[in-house]
Amino acid sequence: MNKRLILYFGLVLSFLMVNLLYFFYLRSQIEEIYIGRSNTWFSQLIETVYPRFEVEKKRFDLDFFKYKADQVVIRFNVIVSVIIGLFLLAKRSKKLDQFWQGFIARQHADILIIIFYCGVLFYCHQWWMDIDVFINRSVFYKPILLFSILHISFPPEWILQVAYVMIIFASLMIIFNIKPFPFSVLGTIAFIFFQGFYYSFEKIDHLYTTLTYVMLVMPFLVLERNRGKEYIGKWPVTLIQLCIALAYLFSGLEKLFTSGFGWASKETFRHYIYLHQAPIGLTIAESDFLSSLLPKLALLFQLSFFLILFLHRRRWIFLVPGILFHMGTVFLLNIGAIFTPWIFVYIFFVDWGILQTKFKKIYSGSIFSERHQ
Amino acid sequence: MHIKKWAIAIMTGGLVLPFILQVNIYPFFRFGMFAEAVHREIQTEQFQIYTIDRQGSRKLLQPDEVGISKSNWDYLLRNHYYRNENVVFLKKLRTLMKEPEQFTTLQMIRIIQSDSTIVYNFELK
Repeated sequence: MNKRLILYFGLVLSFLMVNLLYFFYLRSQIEEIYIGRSNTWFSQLIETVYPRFEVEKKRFDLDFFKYKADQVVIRFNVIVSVIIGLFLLAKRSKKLDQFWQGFIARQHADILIIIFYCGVLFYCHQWWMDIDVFINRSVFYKPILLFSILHISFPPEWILQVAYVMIIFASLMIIFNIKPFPFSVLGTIAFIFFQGFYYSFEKIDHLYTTLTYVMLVMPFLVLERNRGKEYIGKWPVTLIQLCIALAYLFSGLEKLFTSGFGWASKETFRHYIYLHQAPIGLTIAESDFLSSLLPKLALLFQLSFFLILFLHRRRWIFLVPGILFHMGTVFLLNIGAIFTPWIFVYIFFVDWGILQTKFKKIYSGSIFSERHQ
Repeated sequence: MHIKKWAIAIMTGGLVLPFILQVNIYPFFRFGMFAEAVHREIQTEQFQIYTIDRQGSRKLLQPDEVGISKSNWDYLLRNHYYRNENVVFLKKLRTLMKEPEQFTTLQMIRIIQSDSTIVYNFELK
C-alpha cells in the first residue's frame, strides 16, 4: 500500500477519533474536573500536562476552560487540515515537494557551525553566575514537566557546575573540530538540562527558545557535515529555518486563536506598556496612532515570517523587520535583550557562500588595485 | 535517511504539540505570553510583599533583594496565593532574606485595578 495513502488515512482517522471522543465524552468532563468531581484518567492527564490548571481554576470561570478545551480540538483540526493540504499541494508544487532536498557547500556548514557555537559561548558564559541564583532560590524549586517525568529533584551544586562546564567545553571542541558529533550531542543534553532549571521556578520565558531549537538540530548538521565532502545535504539547515519560522508563526497564531484580532487593539497594547513601565513605551503609548499601528505590524510580522522559507532572495524583507521587532520589545516593553538569541539565529538565513565570494572579490579587487597603484 | 525523517518528524511535532495543547512541553515551548487581550479585571491582578520593622515602618520588598527576578516573583506570588500557600510562600521567603530579624512582619498584598487587600500578615519570630 502506498505510504502516502496510509498517512492520509491515519490523519483523517485521527481527525475523526479526536472529534468524536471530545464532543461525546471529554467535553462534559471539563465541568466535572472544574468542580473537582472527576477522578478519571482524563483528570489525571490534565493535572500532569496542564499543571497551571490548579491555579487558573481559581482565577477564571468555567467558560474560560471550556473555551480552552474547545481550542485544543479546533487547533488540532486546523493543524491536521494544514498537513493534509500541504501533502496535496506538494504533489503539484515542485518547490514544496523538494522542500527537504538540496545541498549546501560544506564550507557553508563549517562557517555556520563555528559562528553558532561561538554564539553559544557568548550566551551561556554567564550561566555560571546563575548557579548561585538557582541554589539561593531552591526552596521555590518546582520541576518542569520533563524533570518531573525524569524525577529530577534539585541537584547539588557540583552537578550544575559539571553541566555548565560541559556546555562550554563541548562548544570549544566543536569549534576546533575535535570529535564534533559526540560533543554536539553532549552539549545539547547539557544545555537542555541546565536551561531546565531556569524554568523550574514556576515561570517559563522565551529568550532562549529559538536557540534551544537550533541546539536540538545542530548535532544533525554536524553529522551531515562530517559525512559530506564538498557538498552536504541541506536539510538540517532547512529544519532549523523551519523551526525559527514556526516559532514566529505560532506566536502570531496563539494571539489570534486566544484573542482574535482584538489582540492588536491599542487598549491591549497600552495595557502591556503600562505593565512594564519602559520610558520609551510610555511615550509611544500617548500616541493613538502608534498604539494602534504597532501591535498590528507586530502581528503581521509574526504571521508572515514563514514566507522567508520560500523567498530566498528577498530574506531581508523579513530579517530587517525581525530585528526591529525584537528591538521594539526591548525598548517598548523592557523584555528581552539587544543581543537577543532570536536575532542571532538569523545567521541560518544568511547565505555565507555568497558573502564569502563577495568578500573574496572585494579582497582580491583591493589587492589588484594596490598592485597597480 | 531514517535519521532525517525522524529528526524532521520529532522537531515539527515538538513545535506543533505545545500550540495544540496550549502548554509548554520543554524543550518545546508554547507562545502564550502576551497572547491574551486584556478584557478581564483579574488579568490586571498584582501581588506585593511589604516588610514591617520594629518601629512599625512599612517598606515594599523588591524581588532582587531576595535574589529573584521581577517576572519570576509575580508568578511565584500569584501561584502560591491561588494554591492557598501564602504561609508556605512567606516562610520560604524568610529563608531568602538577609536580615529577617530586623522585621516583625511580612505582609502580602493583592491589587486589582486600584483596590488593594491584605492577603496575609506573617509574623516573623
